[in-house]
This record gives sequence, C-alpha cells and structure tokens, in this order.
Amino acid sequence: MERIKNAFLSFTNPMPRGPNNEPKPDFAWFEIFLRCDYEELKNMSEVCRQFYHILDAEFWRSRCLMDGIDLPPQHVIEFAQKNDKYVDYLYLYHYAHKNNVNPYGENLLRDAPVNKTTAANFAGASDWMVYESRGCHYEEPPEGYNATPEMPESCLATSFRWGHRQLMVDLTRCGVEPWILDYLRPKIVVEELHAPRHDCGAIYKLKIAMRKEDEGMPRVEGDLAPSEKRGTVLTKQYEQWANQPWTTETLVFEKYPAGMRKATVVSCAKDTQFWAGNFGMKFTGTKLRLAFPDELHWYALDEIVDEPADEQPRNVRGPFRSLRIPLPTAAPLPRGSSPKRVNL
Amino acid sequence: MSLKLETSDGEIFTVPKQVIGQSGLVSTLLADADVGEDGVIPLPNVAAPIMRKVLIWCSKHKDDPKKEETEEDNKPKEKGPVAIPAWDTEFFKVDNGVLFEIVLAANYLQIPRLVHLGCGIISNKLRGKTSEEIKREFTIV
Repeated sequence: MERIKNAFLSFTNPMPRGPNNEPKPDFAWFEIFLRCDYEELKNMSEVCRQFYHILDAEFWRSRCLMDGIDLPPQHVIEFAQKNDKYVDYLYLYHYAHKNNVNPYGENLLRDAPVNKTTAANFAGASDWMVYESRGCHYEEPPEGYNATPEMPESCLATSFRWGHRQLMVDLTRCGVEPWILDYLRPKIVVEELHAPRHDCGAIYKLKIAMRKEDEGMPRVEGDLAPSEKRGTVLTKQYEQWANQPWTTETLVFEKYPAGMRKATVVSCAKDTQFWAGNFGMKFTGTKLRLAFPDELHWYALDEIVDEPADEQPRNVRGPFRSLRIPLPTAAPLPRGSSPKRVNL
Repeated sequence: MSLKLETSDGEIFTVPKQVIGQSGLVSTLLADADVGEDGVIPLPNVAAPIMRKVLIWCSKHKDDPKKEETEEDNKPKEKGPVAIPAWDTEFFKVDNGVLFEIVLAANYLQIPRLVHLGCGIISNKLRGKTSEEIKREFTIV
C-alpha cells in the first residue's frame, strides 16, 4: 500500500493553495482566459488583482501559441533578454489577431490576392498594407505559356512599358515591435515566381526598399533602384524562345539603418521587343517573411547611417485605408504610329 | 478490471478501469507501478462529491473514440462561444464553486477534455458581462 502511495504521489502536481489551504484556481482562470475572445479580455485585468496578475506575459505568450501566431525564434528572445529587452507578447497578439497576420511565420502576404482589384480592396480594408499597381494585367491562368504541371493558377502580366506592382507592409502593425527592427534588424526575405512568355523576350526586376514610419510609398520607375542603405534589387532578362520555366527568385535584404518600420516589395517588368498586348514578364506567388541569422548581432542605433532613398517619396496623406488608383503617367503614342511589330 | 480510488475525505470508489483510464494520472501510475487487485489509489487532492461528478462524466465518455488526442483537439479554433455538447451542458449546470472544483480535479487527474469543456463553459458565462458583474459572480471562488 505504501509503495503504491509513494509511487503515485511522485506523479501528482501539487494543488496551488492559498494562505488557508483553500485551492487557488489561478490555473483554471488561465485556461478560461485562453478561451475567451480577445475583446473580452481587455476588461478582465481590471476586474481584480488576481486577474491582472494572471494576464501577464506568460499568458499572452500562451495565447499566441494557442491561436497559431508564431513567436520570434527562441534564440532571438534569449539574446534580447541578455540585452535587457523583452518581447511584448500582448503587442504581438494584439496586431496579429486584429490584422489576421502571422509576422514571424512563413509568409506575411499569405492572404494577399494576386488579382489587382481584389488585392487593392484587401489592402484598402487593412491598416498594415498599401497596394499599388500600374501597367499590369491579371491573367487566370497565365496566357501564352505552355502549360506545365508547375504552372501557377494566376499571375500579373506586363506589356511593352514598365508595369509594376508595389506592396508596402507596415511591420509594426503586423506585431513586430520597433525595437526589434532597430536593434536586431531581421532580414527581409522576398520570394516570387516569374516567367517570360515563350515567344517574347522580357525583363523583370524585384526590389525591396525599407521605409520609415512617416514615409509613404516610393514612386516607381522600372529603372529606379533604391539607395544601397535602404534596399536592393535583382534583375532577370530572357531572350525570345528562351523556354524559361516558372522560377522562384529569392531576394534578401539586411543591414538597414535604424528607424525602418515598413518593407516595400516592388515587382517591375516589361517585354524587350515593344509589342502591343501583354507580352512582358509575368510574376506571381509573392512571399514575404522575416529571418534571423543564427549568430545574432545587437545593433547600435547609429551603426548604419541612413541615406535618403533615391526615389522621390510620395507623401501618403489622408486615411491609411485609401484605395490606390493607378494613374496613367505615360504619354499616349502619337497618332499614326503603331506599337505592333511583325513577328518574323 | 476494477480499481479502487480513495479521495481526500476517506471515501473509496470502485470504478472500472475503462472509466478511470481517461485520467492521464491514473494511466501513468498503472503503467509504471504494480497495482494489485487490493491496491487502493490515493487521491489526496480530490474530495468525494467532486470525484462523484468526475466519474459520472468519465462514465458517459468512456466510449468516446480514442483518436490520438493532441493538444490541438482541446484548443478553440474559432472565435465565439466554445461549443459544448448538450449532455455536457446539462452536466455542468452546477454551482460556480463546484464548477471550479471539477476543473481543478480534472487538471489534477489529467483529463484534458474535461478541463477544456469546464473552462469553455466558464468562458461562455463570462461573455458579455461587465467587470462589475464578473466581480460579483466569480471572485468569491
């Protein structure tokens, strides 16, 4: 009997008890709060001191995990603690939950549509994304491309002038605290699929540009590159009949100055044979994520000196939810001239 | 096979293994220690009235499909009230004090599904109440 009792008691969790040995159901409230709506919890910490103490960092960390919101990597959290900085899990939960994003997950753009109109509406209804496109044409499925099993369902296609699609993501409104951007400077990793039509040469540029809190979307021209301190660009060009399959390009930007709060992803493309119609490079499947190296560095705020961006920043005044309507800026072709070239 | 359980107030319950097998605590003990026919398992953290309620729940649910119960199954997926089956809703129509004791006992006995349902019921009760109302109704516990 004693043997069983001893064996058994070694498994038991001690019941948390108050000063008079009454059971204190802190654990129960913790579990209950995990199941309450976030909006209800705002008032809970004011009900009594017990609740206030239960709704602490540990709670919000659990709540993030429960709701499928990824945390920053463990080694990042520990490194920050060594530098006396602590991840605010309530901040993370608040924005991730409110905006339905997962900032430390696989893809911040997980829910962003490819279709221009749907995407513009999506961004307009959010307070963390701004969207702009010009000179792109939505195709579902991609046209003029020999179907392969790996072909994406839809894409944006471009024409004989530079067309572009630009997304600006406010990382702080996705739940990434400003100090993480200033002292840890996570890498910005962008992946995108692109392909030319098989019958036309084409060129494509993928750019990342960082913006400060009060800076709006940069003006986009095909050839414009962000300044070295603020961003990076890659270029891909193919000849006619290159038979290039859909390829994923990965672009990484790190080592940016302090004060950056937003990441802009720009995809620009066109054809190289000046044909009417949508014969330019196609792109789709854009992904954006943050990455931390294994060896972390704690940046000093003045460690990388900021440079003004090369592009002329456009001021974004007015409600953040404004729908961006692309304005035609190219002059119309003179009458009588035709962009059509004969395909020999 | 039946097992004997002794509560904190000295009462002894004889229960079929299949019923109390849902308790992670008891299952672990059975796997690791040798409990003979006359062995009585002491449960110093659960009183008889609460044990009675827990056993009623376990009896009802003893035939529940034993799929691989992961953490995911007992987490709320959707916003809004936690879904509680009808029988369990009736089962949980008790005093708040008893409700908490059941949840605490379920946690102690490691019955995740019962913890989830009990906490779900309470979180549903909190829905739509003001701070004052919650204070009045719950903070005596």
